[in-house]
Amino acid sequence: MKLAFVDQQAVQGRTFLHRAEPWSKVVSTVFLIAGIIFCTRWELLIPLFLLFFTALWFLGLSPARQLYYCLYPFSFSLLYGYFLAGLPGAELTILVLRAVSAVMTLLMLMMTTPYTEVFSVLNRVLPSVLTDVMFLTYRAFFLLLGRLQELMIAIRLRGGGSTVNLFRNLASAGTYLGLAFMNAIDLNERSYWALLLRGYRGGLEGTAISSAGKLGGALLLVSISFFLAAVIL
Amino acid sequence: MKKIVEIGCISHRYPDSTEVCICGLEFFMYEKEVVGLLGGNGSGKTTLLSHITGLLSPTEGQVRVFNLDPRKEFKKIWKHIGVLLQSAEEQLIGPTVRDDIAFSLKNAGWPREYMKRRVDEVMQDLQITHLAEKIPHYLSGGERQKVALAGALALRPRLLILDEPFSRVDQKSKKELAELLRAVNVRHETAILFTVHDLSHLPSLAHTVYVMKQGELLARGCPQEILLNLPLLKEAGLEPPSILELVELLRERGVDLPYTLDPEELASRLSAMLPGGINCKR
Amino acid sequence: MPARIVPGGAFFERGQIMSHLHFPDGVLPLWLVGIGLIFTAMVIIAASRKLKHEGDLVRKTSTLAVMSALMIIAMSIPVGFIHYHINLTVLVGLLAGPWLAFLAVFVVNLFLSLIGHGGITVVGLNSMVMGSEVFMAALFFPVFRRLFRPGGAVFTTTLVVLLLSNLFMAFIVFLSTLSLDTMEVAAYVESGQQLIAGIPGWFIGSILALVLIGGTLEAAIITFILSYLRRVRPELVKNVYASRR
Repeated sequence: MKLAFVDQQAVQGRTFLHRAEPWSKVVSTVFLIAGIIFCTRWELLIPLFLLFFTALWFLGLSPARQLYYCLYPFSFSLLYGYFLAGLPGAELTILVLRAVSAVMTLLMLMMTTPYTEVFSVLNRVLPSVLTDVMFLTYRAFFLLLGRLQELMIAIRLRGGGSTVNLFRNLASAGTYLGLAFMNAIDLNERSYWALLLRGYRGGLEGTAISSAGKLGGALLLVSISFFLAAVIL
Repeated sequence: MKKIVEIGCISHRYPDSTEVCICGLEFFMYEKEVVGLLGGNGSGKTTLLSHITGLLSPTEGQVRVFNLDPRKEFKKIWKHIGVLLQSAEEQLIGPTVRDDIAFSLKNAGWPREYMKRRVDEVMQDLQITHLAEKIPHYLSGGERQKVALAGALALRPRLLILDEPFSRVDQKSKKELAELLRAVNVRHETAILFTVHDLSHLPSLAHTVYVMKQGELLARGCPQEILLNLPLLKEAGLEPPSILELVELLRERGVDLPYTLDPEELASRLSAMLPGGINCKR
Repeated sequence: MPARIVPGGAFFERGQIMSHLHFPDGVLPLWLVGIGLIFTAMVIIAASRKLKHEGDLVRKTSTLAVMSALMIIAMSIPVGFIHYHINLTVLVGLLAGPWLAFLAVFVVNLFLSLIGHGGITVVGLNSMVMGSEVFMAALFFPVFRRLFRPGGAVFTTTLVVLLLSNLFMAFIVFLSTLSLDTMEVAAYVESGQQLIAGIPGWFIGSILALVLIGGTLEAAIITFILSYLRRVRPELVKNVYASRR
């Protein structure tokens, strides 16, 4: 699963980007995304895309996998721009580049910053109840995924799953998801108990935010420059 | 000594209409006492613990913890009870190990500075300081259990409740955990209640043992007394310690040996029976 | 840290047919993106207030998190050889109630947008589309329940809701092609006609076919899930099955 893979890369990575302060990476991403949305010049978007493409490759995301992740925004923006907005070639290119560059930018952030650290930064600006739910969802995701993976293996080992009979496929999926739902309900009950027993009153403590180092400062500088260039040019 | 937990005959009805009754002997626990709750699967151990922690309320009967009704007065007692659930990973809530240990302290309204100091202390006690900034779900099973225990101990509870703490860890970790719990009991005078079906660590850890079978509290006594009562263990569907099984087999074959849980003692007795003692040389 | 197997890697990552699409970043006009964010924020505030007012926030927070996690995982489970992915919004809407389910939808979209599945700036619009399903499910299910047996009512509700949410998405796309200049109603209609006239028939046809196939599959699966839950944990679905005809 993409989310688990991306988070694992972020946790295990040891590059200089992994070491940069999470808040500087999040703020840089905000500037980059804003820049991408406002950008009307392919001369800015193509280098950004290529830079991230190379960086993500270096971080362990193969070109094939990157292209796969870009396939959906590429197709959507292409179909939208061509059929619906009726954009000419140059503008269509920019529209497509915007969509795929935004995906690459977010992947850059998430491949180098664990979800928990991103949430800790968001905790400073979003209502704490919302970031609590995000932390708990992240936790529930991994607990549930582990269990459902075992369940899926068990179903496959007993001959369930992929067949050419559509009805059987749907029934299997229904059974599997029904089991998943039951697992989720049980997990919810135990999570609720754990929260109660540990005196939860709202507001999960996130990792403390340190001040920007040289690396974080450099990232901010680059992203702000890109944003300004995108807006001004 | 003061009783901190008292339970009479209680019953609870689950949402799926299953009714569980806990009857037989009265269950009680003194302060600073270490109590082991023995019983096979489905004997009602977890239901009993859930009543003590206030997660379930009896449809009939009464539960008193620190002389309060744990369900109604939950807000007053939660700070005094530390809990380690059977699946430790499910009680890890904080984004990092440090955050997780600080979770209960934060909920109890501790100032940040004290909170940090206490978290550091607990991590040091459990030798998990190196895990402080790790994300809980990337830890191994043993590490997760230690982190969960650290979270349960952070508030220095008067009562620590552990649901099958020895069931999911390897032999070495079991020994470490037993030593750790003994230290907690001695150093902080924390009363400990744990459920178990593997009897190997009972004699060294528990002061008192209860035996349960299908919701019935069959017996209460000191570990030696309970463990040497083989018919009782069999009735409760529990496997006696290997050393006792060996003694029983030898007795059946006419070897005159007393029931003992001490391997040293058994070795000396056997050695004395053999001409020239036990000699492994060929 | 020792190397670990990526959870779900082998089984969960497959093709990408879903019952509806997510808008990516940088495509839709900013005014529409802004409306999406404002509207979603308003629903989130209303939902949070309602849940707070109802009490037992700890349980609701926990339920919300687990349901969101389940939806994220369900979206990555392929249905056998066809590699179709479902999102469980209707099911969660029926079982957890529309307000809690809307919050779950928002959290799911936010999580997915961070890994590039749907844009982060359009998380509001994407939540509006998916979130509309939970409210429509709550609205339509009692109506269909009066007409059909429980299984039929669940199937029909899911199918109708998915078709309507796709229609809603198409409407948002239509809105995005309009200019912000003041126009007469007739001009808007004309603009819509021009837009539709400019799109090849095969394109509209294939989208419609995909939506119909996707909606039918998802409706069938949701019905199977509920019938499974009814057999093994009837107390979980008693609200669905208890509704009177």
